[in-house]
Amino acid sequence: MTAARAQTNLLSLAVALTALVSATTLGLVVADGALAGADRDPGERRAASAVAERLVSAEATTVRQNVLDRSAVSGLSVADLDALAAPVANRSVRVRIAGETLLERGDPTGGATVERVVLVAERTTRSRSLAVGDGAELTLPRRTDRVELTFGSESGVETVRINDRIVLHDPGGLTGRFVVQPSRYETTTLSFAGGTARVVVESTPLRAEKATLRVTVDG
Amino acid sequence: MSRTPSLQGDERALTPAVGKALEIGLVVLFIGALTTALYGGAVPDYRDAVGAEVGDRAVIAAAERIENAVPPGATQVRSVHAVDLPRSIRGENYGLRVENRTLVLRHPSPAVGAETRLALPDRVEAVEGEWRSSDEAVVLVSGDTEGVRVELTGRKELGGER
Repeated sequence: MTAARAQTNLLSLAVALTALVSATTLGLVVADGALAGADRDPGERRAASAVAERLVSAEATTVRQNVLDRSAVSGLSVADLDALAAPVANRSVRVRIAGETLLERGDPTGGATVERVVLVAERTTRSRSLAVGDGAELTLPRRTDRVELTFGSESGVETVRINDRIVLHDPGGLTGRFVVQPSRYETTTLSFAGGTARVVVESTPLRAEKATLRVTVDG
Repeated sequence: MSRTPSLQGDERALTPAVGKALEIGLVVLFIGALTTALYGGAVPDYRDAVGAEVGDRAVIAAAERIENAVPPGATQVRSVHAVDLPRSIRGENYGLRVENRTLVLRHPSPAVGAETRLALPDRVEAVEGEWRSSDEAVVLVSGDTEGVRVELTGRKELGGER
């Protein structure tokens, strides 16, 4: 009778210990799963955001902050990218602007993607030749920060104003080539005073369009 | 009149005593085995793995903080940015230092270690310095006409400058 009781005790103890072991194992499995879920490579995301950040702020690739220079960007090589943003070295990377792949190294399938809305600007040259007289005005249709004026040799124009601000003045008549820099925040109106002349006005407005810069880094 | 029970003559009391001793022994053995299994294998492994992850993230967060501290398009600057670092990784203090434009984490445990290159503009002429995790870490950005210098230092070394 007593022996049977003692065996019953041992049996329940064994059951309790088995339950404890399974609870511990379950805990370890859950911990393993949690750890596997937290195991990712933060370097990918950092490399992608560093590339995007440097592309839109480096002087080599931008006209100004967040405005990409189309010609500079399309001439970019993977080595330039490594020099620009060091964390991306030795990783697969793809840079896309407005859906077009700009450059690619390896084949990044997964990894981290960073998107930024940017402007892609292209410098265009608009040239027009006109005969001006005293009081003539010319409004440039697109804003620009650089205007080149070339006066013929028989020029009688003494003063050139941009938005009523005098930028060129010569009482003897302006001849030759001049570069003026109007504000890019307002529309430029040139006005001529003093006489008649044949003048070539060359402006270099920026044509900017919105695009999405998408950088994917894998590995 | 019944006979007075004699302890020498009766051996029934021994059975529960032996049973209890067996149970105690079994439980002690079990706890010993479980502790050994957990603290000898699983727990240090987990601490290493988590420490490595935290180390990676700490280095990258610090690197991003350093990069953001450099102002765009300016050289004549002096600014101080606080950086939030984990006080300890895997229960121990650690250090972060810049070697050749690379931010390197130094930790007593070999399982924890990370490094990342810093993406900084060309006008940054030098990046140097060291942080201990016990310090209040700050990034000091100072510049003159030649370029910008970035220095990792502590709030104490700066004397409370903001």
